[in-house]
Amino acid sequence: MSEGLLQLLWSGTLLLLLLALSTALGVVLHRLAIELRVQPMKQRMEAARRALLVQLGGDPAARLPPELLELPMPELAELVDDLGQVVRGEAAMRLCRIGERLGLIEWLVARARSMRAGVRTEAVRRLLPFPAAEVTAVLVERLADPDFRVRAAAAAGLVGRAGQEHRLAHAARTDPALARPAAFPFWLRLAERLPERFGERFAERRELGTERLVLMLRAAAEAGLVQLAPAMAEETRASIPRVRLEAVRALLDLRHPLAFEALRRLAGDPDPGVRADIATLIGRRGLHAFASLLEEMRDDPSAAVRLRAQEARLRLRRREAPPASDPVPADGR
Amino acid sequence: MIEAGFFWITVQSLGHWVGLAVLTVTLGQGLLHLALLAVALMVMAVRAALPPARRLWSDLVDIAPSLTILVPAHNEELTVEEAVRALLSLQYPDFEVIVVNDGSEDTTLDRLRNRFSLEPEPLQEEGLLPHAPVRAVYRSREVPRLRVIDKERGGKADALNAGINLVETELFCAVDADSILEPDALLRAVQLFVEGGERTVAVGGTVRVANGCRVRGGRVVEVGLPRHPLAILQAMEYLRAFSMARLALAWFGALFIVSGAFGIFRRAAVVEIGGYDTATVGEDLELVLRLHRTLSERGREFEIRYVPEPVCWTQVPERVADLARQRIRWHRGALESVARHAAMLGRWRYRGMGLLGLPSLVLIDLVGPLVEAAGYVLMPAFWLLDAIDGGFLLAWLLLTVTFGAAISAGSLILEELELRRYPRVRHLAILVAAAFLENIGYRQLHNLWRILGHLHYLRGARGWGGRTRMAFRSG
Repeated sequence: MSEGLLQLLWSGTLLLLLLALSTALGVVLHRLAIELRVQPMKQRMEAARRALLVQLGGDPAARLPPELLELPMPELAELVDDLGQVVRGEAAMRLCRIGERLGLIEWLVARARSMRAGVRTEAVRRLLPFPAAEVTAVLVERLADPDFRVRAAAAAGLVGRAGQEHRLAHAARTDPALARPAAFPFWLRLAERLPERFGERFAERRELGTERLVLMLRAAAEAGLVQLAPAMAEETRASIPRVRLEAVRALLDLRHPLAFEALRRLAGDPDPGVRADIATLIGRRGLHAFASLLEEMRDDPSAAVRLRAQEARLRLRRREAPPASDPVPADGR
Repeated sequence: MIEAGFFWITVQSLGHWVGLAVLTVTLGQGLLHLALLAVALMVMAVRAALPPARRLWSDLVDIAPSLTILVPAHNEELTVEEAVRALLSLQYPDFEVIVVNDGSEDTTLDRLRNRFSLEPEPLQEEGLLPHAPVRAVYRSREVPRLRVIDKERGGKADALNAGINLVETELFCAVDADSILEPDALLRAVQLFVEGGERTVAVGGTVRVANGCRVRGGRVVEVGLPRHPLAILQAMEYLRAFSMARLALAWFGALFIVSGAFGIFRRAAVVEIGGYDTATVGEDLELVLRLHRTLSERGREFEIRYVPEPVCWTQVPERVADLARQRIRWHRGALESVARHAAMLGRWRYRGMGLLGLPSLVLIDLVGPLVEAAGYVLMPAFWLLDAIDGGFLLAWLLLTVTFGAAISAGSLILEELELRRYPRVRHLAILVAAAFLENIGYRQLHNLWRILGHLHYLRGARGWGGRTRMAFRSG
């Protein structure tokens, strides 16, 4: 073994040992620092929460209490975001104004331009409730973000903001990020806040592709857009099995009478996957009026369908009477 | 005289080359580990911030696919009630629990029957995946979301296959009966299925050691470290294995295992490839390798992902004999799976798995430990024969230990930056000590079990072997 190699081996090993020791020490010291900081911060957070609640109930233009002014930005952002999940209406608007006065928008805008996609996503999500023009500007900017989650969050945030309809319509049609399941909040906000615009997109559904159509069907059902039921019923005849199923699910969610005809038809669908899912749907939703369909499925050529129909029959049997929420009329029509 | 001289020259030459070979494998293994650690740190640095559980709930409540939790249970009377109770109280919009009693000889089934008021259901005649005969299927009168399959003993994979046949949801989650999931674990893992859509076929989470944790009502209410030294060393080992290698390998699309203790799968994909393989004891590893292989060969776009946050707490053995049996079994399972899917090695067609996942499994888990063990025997022997330098032997030994300690210490950075599950400085200090001490004694023991695992594999051994069950430490 050459001297040089041995020397190199020793040097490398000792360097690695030093690295391991310093890493271990660093980790322990880091935790120690956190432990010393955590308890006081918890108390400060609690005091700030109380102060924020008082401020929300009082005059929003009043001087901001020191508990809020002195709280570090990350904790403040967390606090406002946390409260933003539960307050509505006037209180939500007041919360935004307080956040704005505390400099939260500038901080979040800076983070929305961070190098880290995760940080950008979170910042964009937290910016959604703020109606300020600079927030709109940064959301527009983030529509061109390389990360799909950031783009989906930005699009959701732009729904309902003045002058953004054309831009959003373009994104809804072309941006692949809005075809991913993570973009469901965008479609739901669109359906809830701008049902007419949503209806326009729904009318273009054939050009928008399966993924967007599935999301739109779910959002329309969730937002209770009964006026789209006839179009949904058309989709129960779509060529793609997944779309047929989602459409019938959406109609059932809307408790629309068109659901029942579709359900009967799809129980005899050429695709065994659809038939099996229809059986499960009947069982899970306790659709007693369709028990006869499950009986017919006993002789289905597909083992999977027979199995799922049997399961569904068992489920129905366990429910002694149709639940009050059963959307199906007694005669099943 | 000439013959003796020739012998010494041969020994000298052999010692030189063996020394170099052992050193090369040690360096290769260690550097690969360090590279994985660097990638894991990079992944942690750029990934999305963690949303709080409430936010996650509101994001996912409308779109999370329904899910079934499958719990294979064999002689789990000590933990099964608590585990099932904990599973039923998880935060998830729509899920069922199916416990598969795999021919338990203890009171597992009776305990479930009494605790959850089980009622028999008519038996189903057929299923897509084959398995040992089912004796009965029960549903809980109290909690209709709970079903129990009572079947003849067929092993864990067989039990999971029986469960999959009854699953009617898009996703299923395989969980061990002696494990406890954190309340938001399903939400955190399913988030990846929602983000990835149909192409995401499996997601694994982190498994941590439950020994030493205080458990109440089926939940970990106070995280602690085990008191038993063997379990502490395993706590460090789990921390390293999950936070470092899996995070990095998943980033390359080369994740070769989703732990049997906690993993979520797309049912259609698992059924498509024929379910779990009952002929191996490493069914979790084999399933993931087969998913990679089959889906790649069929030209499908897919991903198998890992997310550190969903944590599953599991009991680890505290007796050397139990641990030895477990590790020998794991190693045998790894060998069986690698042998079955060796065709993927180094092949571009299998992308990350062929080029990185499987080679790293072979180097780090199969070849590396054997070479290291051989080094412990051969290197001192060659030193005694004056074929290698004493300094070289010492440097190699120190390098082996140092690599291990550096990698473990690096994993602690990941734990500290993201999960921070061990709450006290004291815990971290103990883990730091374990990071260094595990390389002296425990590591070598582990190598020995791996050699035994090799021998069992070559002998064609079958079965799981028994183990001592432990109850959770109640709070």
